[in-house]
Amino acid sequence: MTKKTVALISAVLICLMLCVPALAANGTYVSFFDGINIKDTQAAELDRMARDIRTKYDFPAYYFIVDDIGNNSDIYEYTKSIYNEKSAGMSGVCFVAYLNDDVDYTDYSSEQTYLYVTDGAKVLFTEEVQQAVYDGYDNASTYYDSAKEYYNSISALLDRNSDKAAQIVEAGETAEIGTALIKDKTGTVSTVQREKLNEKLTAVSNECKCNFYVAITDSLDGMTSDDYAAKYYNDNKYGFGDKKDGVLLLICFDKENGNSWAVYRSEGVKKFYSDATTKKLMKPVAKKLGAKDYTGAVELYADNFSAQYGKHGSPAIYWLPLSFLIGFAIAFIVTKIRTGNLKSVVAQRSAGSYVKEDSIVEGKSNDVFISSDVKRTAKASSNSSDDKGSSTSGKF
Amino acid sequence: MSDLLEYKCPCCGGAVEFNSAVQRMKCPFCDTEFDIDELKAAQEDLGNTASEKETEVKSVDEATGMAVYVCQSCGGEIIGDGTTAASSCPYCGNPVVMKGQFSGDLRPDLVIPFKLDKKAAKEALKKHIGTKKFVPKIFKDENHIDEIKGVYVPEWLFSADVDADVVYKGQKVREWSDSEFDYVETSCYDLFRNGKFSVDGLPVDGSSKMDDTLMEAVEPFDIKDAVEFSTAYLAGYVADRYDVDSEQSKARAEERITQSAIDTFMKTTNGYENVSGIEDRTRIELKNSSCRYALYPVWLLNTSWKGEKFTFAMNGQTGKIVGDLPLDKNAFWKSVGVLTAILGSAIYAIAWLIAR
Repeated sequence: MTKKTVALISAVLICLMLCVPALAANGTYVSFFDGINIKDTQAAELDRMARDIRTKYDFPAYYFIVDDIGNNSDIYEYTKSIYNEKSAGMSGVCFVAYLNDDVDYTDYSSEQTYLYVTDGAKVLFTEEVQQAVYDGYDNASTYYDSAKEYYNSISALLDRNSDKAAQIVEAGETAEIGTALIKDKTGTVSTVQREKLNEKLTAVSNECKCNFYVAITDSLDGMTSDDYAAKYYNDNKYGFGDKKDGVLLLICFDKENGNSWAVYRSEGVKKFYSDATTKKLMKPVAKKLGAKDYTGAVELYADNFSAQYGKHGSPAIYWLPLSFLIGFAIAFIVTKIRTGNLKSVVAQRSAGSYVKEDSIVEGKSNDVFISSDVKRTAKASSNSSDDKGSSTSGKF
Repeated sequence: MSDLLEYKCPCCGGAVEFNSAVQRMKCPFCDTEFDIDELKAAQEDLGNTASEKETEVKSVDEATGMAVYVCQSCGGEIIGDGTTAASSCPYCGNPVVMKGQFSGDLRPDLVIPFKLDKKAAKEALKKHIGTKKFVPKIFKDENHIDEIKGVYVPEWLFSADVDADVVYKGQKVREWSDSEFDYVETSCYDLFRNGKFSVDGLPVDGSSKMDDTLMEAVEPFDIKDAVEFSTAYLAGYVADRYDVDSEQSKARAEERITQSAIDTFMKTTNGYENVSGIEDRTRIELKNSSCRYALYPVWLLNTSWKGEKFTFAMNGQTGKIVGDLPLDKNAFWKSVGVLTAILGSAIYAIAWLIAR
C-alpha cells in the first residue's frame, strides 16, 4: 500500500471520527446540532437517561440544542410543536435552547431557552422547579453537564413524587385529536410500537373526527371491565369536542380473573356501535389478542371501528312486523272504545238520583288497622351522573 | 167485567186524547182543549154518559188471560192480555182505556203525564241512531220509526228513611329511602261508617213485560211532575197494569239503596287510598218506608234486524233515550285496518329515527 493511500484512508477515518460526534449527537430524546461539541458517548448516555425516565415513569423528557427553529415564529412555538410531534401529546417536558448566529456560545445567558411543560406535568413542574431547570442550564459549564443535570433533576423529582408521577401519566391532555390515544400500564407494547400505534389511532381519529383510544392495564380495581372502561373514559375526560365523542378499547391482563376486553362508546357515537355490532367488530380483534398479537389487535380495532363510524343503523328487521302488531293492538282497542256508545242500556248502580241531599247525616266512624306490608327495592348505582355512553365486553 | 173508556169531545164528538205539548186533553179533530176536570164536568152536564160506555168483554181466554173487547166507535175487536190497561182500536184508531184494570187496589196512586210528544220521540230516536258511526246503514233506514208508541209503565215507588252501617277497605301508603333502598309500606284498614239519609220515589219496574234494565236505563224520573192518577191521561197511549207486586220489587230497591249508602259515606274516608265498599258487610235498615204505585211515561220502539230484537226507549218526561244498536262488522274491521296501517307506519318511523 502506498503512502498516499494510507494518508487518504487515514484522512477519511479522521473525518469520520470527527463526524461521529455530530451524528451521534442525535438520539430519540436528545439532540445537539452540529456546532455543539459533545461526544457520542455523552449523547448516548443522555439519551439512555431519558429512556430510563420514560420507561420507569412513562414520562417523556426531551432536551434539544438547536440552531434552527424552521418556520416557527419563535422558540415557544417550535418547542411545543416538536414536543407534540415526538410525544403525541403525552404528559412530559421539553427543553430547547435555541442558538442562532448572533449568539456567543460561551455566554449562555444570551441564548434563548424554553422549558415546555404540559398541563398534566405542571402538578410536579411548578414555577420553582422550572426556574431551577433554567438556572441549572445557565450555571452549567458545558451542554453535556447542563443536560445531565436536567435529567438527574427530573429523575430525582419523579422518584421523590412517585404518586404524583402516576397522576401525570394518568391525566390526559385536553381531548383534541392527536393527543396520546394509547396508554399501556403493563409494558405489553414497546415504546416504538406504542408510538406507531398512536400514529395509526391518530390518523383514523382525524379522519372520523372521533377519538379512538386504547388502554392496557393489569387490574380492574374490583370493577367489571364495562364499569372500569366507562370510569377510565370519563376520568380521563376523553372524547372529541363538546360531546366527547370517542371509543375506548380497554385490554386487561388479569391473572386471577382472566384476560378481558371492553369497548366503551360515548353517547354521541353509540348509535353507530350497538352491542351486537361491537361484538361483531371485536371478534377478530379478540382473536388476535388471544394469539398475543397485541399490535395487530390494536391496528385491527382501529381499522374496524373507524370503518363502522358514521354508518347509521336501521331498526332491526323484527321491528317491521312488531310495529304493525302494536299498531293493530292499539287500533283494536281504540275502535272498540269508539263502539262503546252502541251500548246504552245499562242498569242503575244505585239510587243516587233519589237520595234527598239535605237528609244525609253522618254518624259514628271507626278505623281499624288490619295489616301492613313493607316492600323495598335496591337503588340503582351509577358510576357517573354524566355517563351516557355504553360498554360491551368480552374475554380473550 | 172490564169496561172500555172512550173520551168524547163535547164539541164535535171526536175521540179526545191527552196532549203532552199542552198538558191537557185535546180533540185532534176540532183542536178544542180541556182540562181533565173540565172534560168530566162537561160530560156530567150533558148527562151524557156515552163517553163512558160500558161494553162487555166479548170473550176471555182463561188459559192465556187474553181478552177481546168491542170498540164502541166502529165495532171492531180490540185484543188485550190480562194486564192491558189502555190501547187503541186497530181498525179506527180510537183510543180506549180498560177501566177495570185500574179499579180498587189496582188503581195507581200517581202518574207522570207525557211531556214529550211522538214527534220529539221520533226526532230523538233518529238522532240516537243516526249519529253512531258503526251502525249498519240499512238498520238506520229500516227501523220503522213511525211505529214508536207511548207507553205508561207501571212502577213501584219506594220511599224510606235509611239507617246505614257501611264497611270500607282502605289503604295508607308510606314511602321512604335510605342510601341503599327505597321502601314502600302499605297498611290496610277496615273503615266503619254509620249514617242516615232519606230516599224518595225510587222506582222499580212493576211489569214483567218491560225489561227492568231498559227501564232503569231511562231514569231518572222527577216525581215532582207526578199528579194524582186519572184515566184521562192514558187516552191516546198504551198502558199496562202491574203484574210484579211491591214485595217482589222490594229486593231490587234495597240493593240500590245499599249501594247508595256505600256511595254516600265514601266521602268520609278521606286520607285513605284505594277505598272500596264491602257490600256483604254493609247493613241498611229502612224506617218509615212507603211504597206507591205509579205510571211512568216511556216512548218505545221495538224492531228486529237480522233475527235480533232491538228495543229503544225514551223517557217521556226528560227525553233521555237509550237502546243498544247493532255493530257493522265490516265498518269495524275497516276502521281497525286503516288505523293499524297508520299507527304501524308511525311506530316503524319512530323506531327508524331512534336507530339513526
